[in-house]
Amino acid sequence: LRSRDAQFDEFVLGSSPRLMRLSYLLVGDREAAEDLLQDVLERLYVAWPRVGNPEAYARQALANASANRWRWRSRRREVELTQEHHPAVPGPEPSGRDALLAALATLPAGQRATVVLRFFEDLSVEETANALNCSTGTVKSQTARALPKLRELLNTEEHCR
Amino acid sequence: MTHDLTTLMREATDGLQPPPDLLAVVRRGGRRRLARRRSATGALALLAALAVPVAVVGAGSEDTTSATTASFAGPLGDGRTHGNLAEDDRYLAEIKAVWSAWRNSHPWREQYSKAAGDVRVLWAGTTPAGPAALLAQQIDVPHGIGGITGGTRDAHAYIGTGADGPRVAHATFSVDGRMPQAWYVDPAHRVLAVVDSGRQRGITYRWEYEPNGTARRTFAPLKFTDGISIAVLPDGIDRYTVHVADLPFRTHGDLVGIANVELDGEAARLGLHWNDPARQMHLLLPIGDAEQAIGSARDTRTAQRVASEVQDALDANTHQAALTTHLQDWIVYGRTHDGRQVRVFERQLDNDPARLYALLDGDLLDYGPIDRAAALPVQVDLPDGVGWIVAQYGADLEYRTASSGWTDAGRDAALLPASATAARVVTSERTAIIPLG
Repeated sequence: LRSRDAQFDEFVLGSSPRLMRLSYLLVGDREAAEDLLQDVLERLYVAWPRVGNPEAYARQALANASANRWRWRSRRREVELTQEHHPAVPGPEPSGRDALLAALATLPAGQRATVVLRFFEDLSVEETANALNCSTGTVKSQTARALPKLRELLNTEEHCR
Repeated sequence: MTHDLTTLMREATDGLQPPPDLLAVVRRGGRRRLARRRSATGALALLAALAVPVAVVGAGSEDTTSATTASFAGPLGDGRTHGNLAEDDRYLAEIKAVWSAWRNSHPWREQYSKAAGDVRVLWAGTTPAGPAALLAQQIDVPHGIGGITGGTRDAHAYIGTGADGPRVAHATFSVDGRMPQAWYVDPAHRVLAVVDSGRQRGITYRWEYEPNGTARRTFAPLKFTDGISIAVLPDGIDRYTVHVADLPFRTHGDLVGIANVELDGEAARLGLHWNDPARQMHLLLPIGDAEQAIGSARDTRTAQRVASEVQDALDANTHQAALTTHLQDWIVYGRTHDGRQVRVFERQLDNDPARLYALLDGDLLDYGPIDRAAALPVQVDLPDGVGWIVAQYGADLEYRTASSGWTDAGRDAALLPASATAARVVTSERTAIIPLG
């Protein structure tokens, strides 16, 4: 049997890039996302022997922390998204990323977590409900409230999924 | 839209990598937490061995995020109907009919319409708002409807009383055995039914604020009768400020979900709204020579540093039982005439009115609820005769003492001498004179 540390290391090395992206979308700020991910992974280390699905555990913990823990919610406003000492994330045009983050920032934390889990993590309604510890009806209503706002702010076209 | 949203999210985070030292940092932090936990558990075990028998419920379960709650592991899971209406066949038939009608008429009826089993009445009883009940039924959910995974699922219906008799207050499918464990029986949300899980549960109606800035909740243990506890909200208590939790309360993970309350987006923002919501940092209002001594209000790093000081002080003094918190985006900052660092700001917990705080050289002070309609909503009489901090965003400020006329104090926020007897607040709309002290 591999040691606890070896298993944990393998998980962190394999999953942390994806979890970092999830954390970033949940809190909208790189530094806060790193802090949040670090906190969750430390808790995961403690819970490791009892965790059946570490990916699900980490996802749930990130979502709950961002949606329910006020410190992340309030701290996200402290940082300019374009400040110099946070290097730009490579990938899309900065304007597209900034527009997305600005649009997500207009949502209450629960709505934000809901749409990120549904449409970034591609979770079902009930998987999202499970991750956020709420009812499926709440997930649906949060999604229904969030999408029109995002649609308006991002000016995206309607597509069926 | 959703396709585009998925693409946008993936593009926006493409290439984003965690810090290179993440693994080392979390292993170090994890080991530290583990060591603390073992130490704490060992101490509890020792106490238990030396003293009277102690129930160490949940000792060491520091991480509650992965904990699952069996849907009816408590008294309601024994297969019979509980409550004082358990033998009332007329009421039981009525609520089953209401539930059936709801399933077949609800906008999501495609999910709920195909019953896979009989309705089980877990509890039916009287409450001060009328009769109530909790039902469970297996439902065959079609694949591909509303994102619910198809198959046989457990649905739960929370029955209350409306103007026309029994009504479905809420219904949901449980996930991994988890479901909301409480519901408001009446449309006015004054009577709350809480399910007995077999663990001790408590309810809290309000925050308690202390002059030293501490904010806490006290959970009063609930008394369960035949599987349910009924709580009537005191007058003036807002449903969004009521919380139920498993005891002992430690973290947000101990809070119990209430079926027919959606917290997010519902809490009113009761602060001063001085900052532009689109602005991604706090509005800093310097007093005295703060900009020289500490940094420009327009500088992001200054905003971060000042906001972190405030947040850390609040973190250290606040109970974890808040579902919503607004740190309302503005902070007066600077130094007093004797060189002490001072910050003044507001903070709202749940649906309570926003309150005014000062942080003076690390000491947090609570100045009570903010009067949003006041001409001078921020009036902080600092201790030790240090002076007054006053603020009204967008206003020109002046003050006078017993021996002097009006003196200009600048705009937005000011540190006034302790001898100030009145402040004058001049905006484009009005001029007001506010006595101090």
